[in-house]
Amino acid sequence: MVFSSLEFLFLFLPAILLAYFAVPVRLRNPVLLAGSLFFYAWGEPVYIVLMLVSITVNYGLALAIDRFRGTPRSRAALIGAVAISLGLLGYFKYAGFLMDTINGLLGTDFVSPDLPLPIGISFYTFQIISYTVDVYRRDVPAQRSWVTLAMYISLFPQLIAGPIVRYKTIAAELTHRTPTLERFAEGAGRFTIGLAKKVIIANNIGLIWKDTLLSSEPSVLLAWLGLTAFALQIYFDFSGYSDMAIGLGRILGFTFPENFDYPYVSQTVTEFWRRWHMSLGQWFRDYVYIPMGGNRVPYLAWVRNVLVVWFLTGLWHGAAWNFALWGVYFGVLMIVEKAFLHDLLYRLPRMARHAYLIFAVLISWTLFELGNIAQIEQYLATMFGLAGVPIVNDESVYVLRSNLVLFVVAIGASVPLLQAVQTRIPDRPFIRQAGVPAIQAVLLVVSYAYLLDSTFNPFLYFRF
Amino acid sequence: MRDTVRSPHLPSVLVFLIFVFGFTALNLLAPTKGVSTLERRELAQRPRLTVESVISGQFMEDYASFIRDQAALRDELRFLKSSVERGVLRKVENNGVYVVGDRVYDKFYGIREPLAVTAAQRMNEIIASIQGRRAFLSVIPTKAQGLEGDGYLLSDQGWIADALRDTVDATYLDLMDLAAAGTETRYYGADPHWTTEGAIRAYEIVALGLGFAPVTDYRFETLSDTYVGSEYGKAAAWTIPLDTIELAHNEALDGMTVCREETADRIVCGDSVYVPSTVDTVDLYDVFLGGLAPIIVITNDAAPSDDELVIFKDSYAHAIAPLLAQHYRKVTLVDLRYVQRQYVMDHVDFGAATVLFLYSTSVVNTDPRLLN
Repeated sequence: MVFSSLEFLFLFLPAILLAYFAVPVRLRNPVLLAGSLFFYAWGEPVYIVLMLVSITVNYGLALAIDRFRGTPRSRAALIGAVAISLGLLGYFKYAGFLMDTINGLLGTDFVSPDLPLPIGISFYTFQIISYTVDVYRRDVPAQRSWVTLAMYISLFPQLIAGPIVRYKTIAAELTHRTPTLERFAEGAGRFTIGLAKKVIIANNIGLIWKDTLLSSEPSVLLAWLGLTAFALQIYFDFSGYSDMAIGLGRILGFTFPENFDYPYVSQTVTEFWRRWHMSLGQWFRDYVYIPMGGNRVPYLAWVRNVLVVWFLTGLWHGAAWNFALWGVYFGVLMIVEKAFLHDLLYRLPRMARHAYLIFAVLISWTLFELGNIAQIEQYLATMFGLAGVPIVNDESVYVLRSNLVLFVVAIGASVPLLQAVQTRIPDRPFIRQAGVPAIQAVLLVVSYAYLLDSTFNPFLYFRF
Repeated sequence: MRDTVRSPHLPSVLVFLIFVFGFTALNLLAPTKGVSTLERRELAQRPRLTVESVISGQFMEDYASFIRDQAALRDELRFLKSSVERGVLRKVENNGVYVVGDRVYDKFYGIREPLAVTAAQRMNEIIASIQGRRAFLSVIPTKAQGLEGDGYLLSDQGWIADALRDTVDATYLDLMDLAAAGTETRYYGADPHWTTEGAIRAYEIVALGLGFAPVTDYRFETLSDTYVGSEYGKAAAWTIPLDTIELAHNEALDGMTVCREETADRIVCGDSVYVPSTVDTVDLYDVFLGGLAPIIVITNDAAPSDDELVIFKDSYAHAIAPLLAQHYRKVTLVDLRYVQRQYVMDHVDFGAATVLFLYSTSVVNTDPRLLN
């Protein structure tokens, strides 16, 4: 079930809100757990067993880590917990990729298991690992209640596409949280914005990218427009989902971490990744990069650390070499930025730095979205006029003209323009009590209208 | 309690709750509908809950379709979306059609050359297998061919007509001017098909090409002035006027009988080229010969000769075939999208019949079923 579906909006959401706020506080966690399991089972009726097994095993191992603290058994329990989590993720997500790679390299004929990827496994596995590691590090005590831990792992707002909410971030709220009218209003507003970002902008502008790939009359302009459309689609798709998740969390009384901070205003790749999918970056920093020594190591070891982290970040997004290449591409750019490019860029005007960042990120999306090297080469050749296609043709002019307002809206909404406008609007009760709810109502109803007149549009990050 | 009522956050909370619970209640209370008149299709019904359907995920998929199709205010909300697309985002198309004034045009874009080439090959194979018969070819433009203005992305449908004309071993009868600018009444405003007026104009050209003086004496009956065309539902712009369907009558047309071979074992016959019982169906255009069927035979016992005509065709032919049948004792319509070519070659008696290939550019360009 996705948030931007009618069955979520008009079946699950009213039911869970009613149940959650109707029951006594002590029953809210069991209600959330039951609701979350139903939510997950709706899209993954079989693999829900996998998640429950994973939760139960890690519940037991975390208790073991705590109980045998100071002894080798505690470390063994941690290793076991991480190995089991990574083993399940590896088997379901990477086994086919690994077999294909080995077969390709060695000419062997191993049969790759043709397994569907359990929805959200990349997200909930990382959350489980964060829990067991944090317990081992004494950052948090082991959770004694299976229901509470299971509720944390399966919590429907963040279960299948993040943000990756680490256990210690919401440990206190798992047992003591106070939903208030103010929080509800904030959450509802945030959810509305996320829904509109996904349904009105991402789905709509994504059609341009889809049409670009199917075009029988490519041109340089169309290739740039298409890729720009994809860059905006993936941003509004994923950040819209995060907004909805954060908003739902807020309604229920949780405070989830932010996941996006206007990444396209960045001026370097390093800054971009401090603003894009922040919860994933922080996870890799805390559980991979820093344990490897971080930047407190000799230069070459640091280069290795960066490349390993970004190779893994790439592979986290998908079990294919183009994702690994995409990750390493960013790793290399960060190393180059730190070596000299950062200083060089900051001698240039601000616009030049933006142009560099946008260019670097746009190129990265070809690696990310196009399945194989031949396709990537062909698309890049088209973008740079090396594919023998015209610079401009009727189709590209039509796409630009027909979607000009949409591009303007999307680009405007991808920078903190509204925030700037908001700060200039006087904080009068009338605006807060009438203006904001009116905009909210319009966005909700228009989003619903778009949902009704469209086919299924899953979130792009579902496949991870 | 008083604090809650005075809270500045209350309006936002209420808007959200009214949206979620209000539409939930409306959806629950709305009666389940069987068909959508405006979208001209059957709507998804509540799926049956079984263990198998849940485990396979089919129940969830079907339920999503059900809730989307049966949503309260669905038509109104689709209109809102269409209005936002055109009015706010200034898009000229919605769901693949252009809304221009009070008419809807198909977005005919992208020539699929291999389909046209293969269609021509298949036609030539049919012609080769019935050597000796006269063979004719006509290509019907969609109304987008006559859409003027540079704000629309359109391909030249003439390419398809030229490609077929140049490669099919048949006498070409040119209908491509039918959709020229200023001839809007030849096509329905919100349906891709030609009107009876358009079909008569096409008939006049084809009849002359076949060697007949076209009949010009008709009286007209208005079947409906609330015809919901297929493009009407796509555009979801309910301010566009509905179309009028007129039926042409004269003594010859009213004396014809029609047999529809719906399957190999099921042949349904009637005594009119118009099948008014279809008035209750979602597509009023089915009034012409009763709608699509693999093979349809029109018999005209009052024909001036024993000549026969076989038309390989798509749905446009249903309005023109009765007009052509005024000159033939028997007209057989073959829709290769619904019947294997080999079956037709084995079961249809071509005798000395004249053969006419009559296809719209949109079907040639999009429907590979012609190539079987």
